[in-house]
Amino acid sequence: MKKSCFMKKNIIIFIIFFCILSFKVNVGAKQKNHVSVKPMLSGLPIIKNSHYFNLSVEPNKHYVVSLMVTNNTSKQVLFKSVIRNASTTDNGNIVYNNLNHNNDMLLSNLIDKNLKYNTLKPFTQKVVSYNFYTKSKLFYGSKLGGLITTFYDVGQKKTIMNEVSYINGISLNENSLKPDLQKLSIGNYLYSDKNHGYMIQIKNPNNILYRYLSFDLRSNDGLLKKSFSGVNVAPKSSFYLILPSDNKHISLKNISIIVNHKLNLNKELSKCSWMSYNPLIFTILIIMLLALLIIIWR
Amino acid sequence: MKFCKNLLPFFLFLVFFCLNLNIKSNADVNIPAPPSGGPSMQGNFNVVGSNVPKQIYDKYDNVQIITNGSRRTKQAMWWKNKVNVNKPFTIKFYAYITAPDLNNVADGITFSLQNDDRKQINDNNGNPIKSNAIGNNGESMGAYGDVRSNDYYDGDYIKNDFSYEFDPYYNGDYSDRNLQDEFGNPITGQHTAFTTTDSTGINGLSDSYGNINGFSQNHYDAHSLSDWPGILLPKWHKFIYNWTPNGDGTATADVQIDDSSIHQSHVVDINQILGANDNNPYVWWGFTGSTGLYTMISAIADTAVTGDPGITKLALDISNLSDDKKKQIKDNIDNSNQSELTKKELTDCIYNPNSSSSDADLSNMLVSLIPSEYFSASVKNANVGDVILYKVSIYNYKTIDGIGNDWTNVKVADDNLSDKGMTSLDNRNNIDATYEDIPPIDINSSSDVQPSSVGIRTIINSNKNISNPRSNIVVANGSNFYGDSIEGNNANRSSIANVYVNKTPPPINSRILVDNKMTNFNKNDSLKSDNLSDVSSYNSIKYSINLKNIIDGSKTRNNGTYSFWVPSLNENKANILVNNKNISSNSTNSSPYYKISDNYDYDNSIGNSLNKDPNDSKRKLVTIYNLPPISVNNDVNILATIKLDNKNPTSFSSTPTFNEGSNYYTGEKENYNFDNGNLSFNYINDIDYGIKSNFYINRLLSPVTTKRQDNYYNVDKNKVYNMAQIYDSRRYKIPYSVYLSQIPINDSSVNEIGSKESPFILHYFKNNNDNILNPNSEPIDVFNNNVTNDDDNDTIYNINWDNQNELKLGNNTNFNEHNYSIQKGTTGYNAELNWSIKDNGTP
Repeated sequence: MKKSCFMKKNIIIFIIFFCILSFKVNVGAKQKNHVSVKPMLSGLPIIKNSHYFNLSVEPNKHYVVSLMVTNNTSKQVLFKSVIRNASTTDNGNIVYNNLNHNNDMLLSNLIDKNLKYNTLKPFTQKVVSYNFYTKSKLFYGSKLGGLITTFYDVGQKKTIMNEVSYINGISLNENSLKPDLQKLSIGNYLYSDKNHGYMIQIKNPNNILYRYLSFDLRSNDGLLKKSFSGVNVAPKSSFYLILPSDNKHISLKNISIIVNHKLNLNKELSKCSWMSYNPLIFTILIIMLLALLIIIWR
Repeated sequence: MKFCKNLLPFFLFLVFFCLNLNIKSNADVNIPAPPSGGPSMQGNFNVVGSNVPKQIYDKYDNVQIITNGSRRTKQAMWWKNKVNVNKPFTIKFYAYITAPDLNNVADGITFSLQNDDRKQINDNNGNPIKSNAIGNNGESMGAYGDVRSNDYYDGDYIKNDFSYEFDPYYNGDYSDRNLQDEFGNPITGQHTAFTTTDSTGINGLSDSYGNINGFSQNHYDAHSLSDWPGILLPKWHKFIYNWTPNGDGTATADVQIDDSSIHQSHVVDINQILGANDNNPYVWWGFTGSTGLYTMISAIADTAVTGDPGITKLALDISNLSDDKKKQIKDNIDNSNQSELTKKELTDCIYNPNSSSSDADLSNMLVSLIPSEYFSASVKNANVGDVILYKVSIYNYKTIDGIGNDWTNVKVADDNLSDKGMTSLDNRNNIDATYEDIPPIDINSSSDVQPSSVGIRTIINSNKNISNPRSNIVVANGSNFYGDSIEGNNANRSSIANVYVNKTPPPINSRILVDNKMTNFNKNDSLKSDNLSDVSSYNSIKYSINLKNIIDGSKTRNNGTYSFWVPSLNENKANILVNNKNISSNSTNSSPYYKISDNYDYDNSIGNSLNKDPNDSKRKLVTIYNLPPISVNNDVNILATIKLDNKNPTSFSSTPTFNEGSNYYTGEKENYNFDNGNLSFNYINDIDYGIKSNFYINRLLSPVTTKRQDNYYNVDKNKVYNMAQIYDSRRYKIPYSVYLSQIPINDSSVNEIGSKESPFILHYFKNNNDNILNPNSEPIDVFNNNVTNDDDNDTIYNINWDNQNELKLGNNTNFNEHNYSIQKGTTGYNAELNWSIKDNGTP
């Protein structure tokens, strides 16, 4: 009897042990074919040769942007649609489903709700529409966002969910500005251990979309250099270009960035702004200051 | 002498007749248009008085004639809501004060704040509805008591009153005796000043026996009217009255006339003068005026009332515009920022109003491009067939100090036009709009920011059983406004515009409504629409067109044509029925027939807004000639079936047109979207990192996919394996990218990889560069395809991974095992990945 009890305990402990220390890690995606998402461009003031919603818009006008979503399967399909603003990722890619990016450049022109849930029965189509109303004042330039259509499953709690999204760009262009490279500027910089290099901020403060730019980065002493091509920059966004360097103690005094092999952006970096980007040193300074205050107070 | 006596009755009659004639001519005073519109007088002001003149609301609804040249009149008018005197406010108004002899203009007007509780009318709940306060006539200007008696307060006077008087007649003996400016210099002529009617504001005047026999008013910051030269000329003059509480129980009133550098101001004790208190700081505001033996012509035009939003509705008969006005509007259109196409459409709305485009946005643009003085509250001499443009403006002004309240959730609706014998040209029969927020705007008329205005064009289509005037009322109501600066029950704001239509119509133009729809037979789609999607080559498209005349008594001629574009036409032929009868392509003199034109052959410069595009080289124009006359009871119905050819463009749009002589009427734009194929995932393989017996993994783990391993634990690192597949059926292939991101799992019971509580995190390696994925990180570009061709072949692309390009699993450096409590018993860690395709050239 005692032995049986001991065995039972051992089995329970083993099971608990197994439960605690056994992990199954999987990341999966289900097949998502046979659905289509097509922009309905007809009747819209599409800028020549564009296949996305690249609209030449006027003030005080109403525009309807529609997608035709088709389910060619024998199963019911769930999808949601949402419009998000464009942002630029490090090293220059435009993305739309960055959840951290939350300005309302494009969304301020949107009428009605943004996030829409839909169900498509087998072999049916649905038109998803978004209404934009441009304001009375010209905004000069482009507002860029993406209409994201995401197909998803429900009812499978604790299983791994995978989604497939199709992004169709929406660009509202009023008095479109030429992509003047002079409007780009160098912002801050910081050393990133994770990226093994200096991150140099490029700022695009205007409503201008830049496409397929090349950037040649070079430090003052010529020791550090790196080229980037095919860089896209969303309107009113900033991003970091990474200048590889294994030595964080190299002091960057001047950085030269040549854009499209012609424009030279220069920036004096001697007024070292790194402190504001180094939270550890900043925290230590604060603690030291507090300690000093306590000593004085005593 | 006897002769004179005999003539006396005749002379008396003559004098009486002339006096009468004088009064009559004065009754129809000719007041010019006010410089700007504003809240209508009717419904907004409560008017009291004696011998109140006939008004001209039909002409200018924001004008109130105070005196019209008749003697011994008096009038007071009070705004429907009381204003909070503990808050700043600004009232802008225009005053028109004149007389044939500028030295004898009498007696004057006031702008007054008052809290005369004796004359206030309340509802059953004790809420104030209106004020009937009024003072004496003559030099008391409808505000003060009897200054020529021994008891100022025995008779009409306004209690708790603070006035700004505009007194163009200097009496010198009673009310304005001993008048001085702020420096003590005597003023002996026409003047303006602040006054009150309480005991501190008046002075008793004694006779030689010491008995009170009259009163003078104290005049504060008095100025001679000579400070504003020409102010009594027959013109409108701008007054801006600012009220600024000082926070100590006093407030400063400030008046500026015609943007002059002179500011008259006076500090008053609010409680003492107005009887208001902290618990009820609301008082009435408005105007008073009067005449006595001498007279004047005076009027007020209110334009902006801060702290109280409102709405105005005005109308304009576009069909009756003079050539000069048309030219002025065209200049405004030409100088606007609109596109050339829109400018053309806007110009058409002015020069060919009854056949112009049915685009509602055009009406909204027109109300901002047409000078505001062209609109009025009343349109006379309109005819059936005329186009009326209604302009509805919502105003909400802030004080000169920039203070104001937002008017939120404002709903605006007006009467249904069909009840007024009118039909909308904007495809909507009334205005029904909601504004989330009407923020207060600058009161200064020179500011670029003007009240929000919407327009609606209508055509007068019938005279049957409709009497004049055809009144159209607009009502606005909103929230977040009342109880703060306004007291009263008038939550709704309304305005009325009248149109008078002549009973005997001149020759009437037609107005044809084109109702055009399409159906794609090959899609088994019974839905009629002006927008076809997923159209393929050789599809059969059916066009259904209804041509309707909405003007009573009008009729088109027998030579109307209807034309529409098609993107391509198989065998260059169409099957067309007009009123259910087949027509042929053989031309005749009287019967309907059709013609097919190649590409740009057809000279159709008016109305057909087809954007020329070299990609549409196969387009054809179908024109149907000799359509039967169209009247109210005789529509024309067209059914046309065409079969498309191949090699169609990506999309195609055109606008059909009905032409009759020089008149043309457009239908809805017809849009084709051809089936251009698409990008889609054929599959995405599962990613599996296997079972671990420890939180810690020494190195980054690759997925253990079936194609890459001989057995579960032996992964071939160098092997390239297929991760996903994309199917590309696009007709015109252009580059695209695929992005991978991890999205947050909104379920607290799920153990999410990459979260703070997770020992694991994902890394995407791209050409050996490490990119960390977590539920909040940016999407990572995992696949680019730079394909560019139009070979129209379906293509498959594989996303292949290898040891340098793949999603790996590693340890989460933020994970702390000692804080690890909630995961005990955990058997699985989860992540939700999003694979997104940037399609169709999206940047």
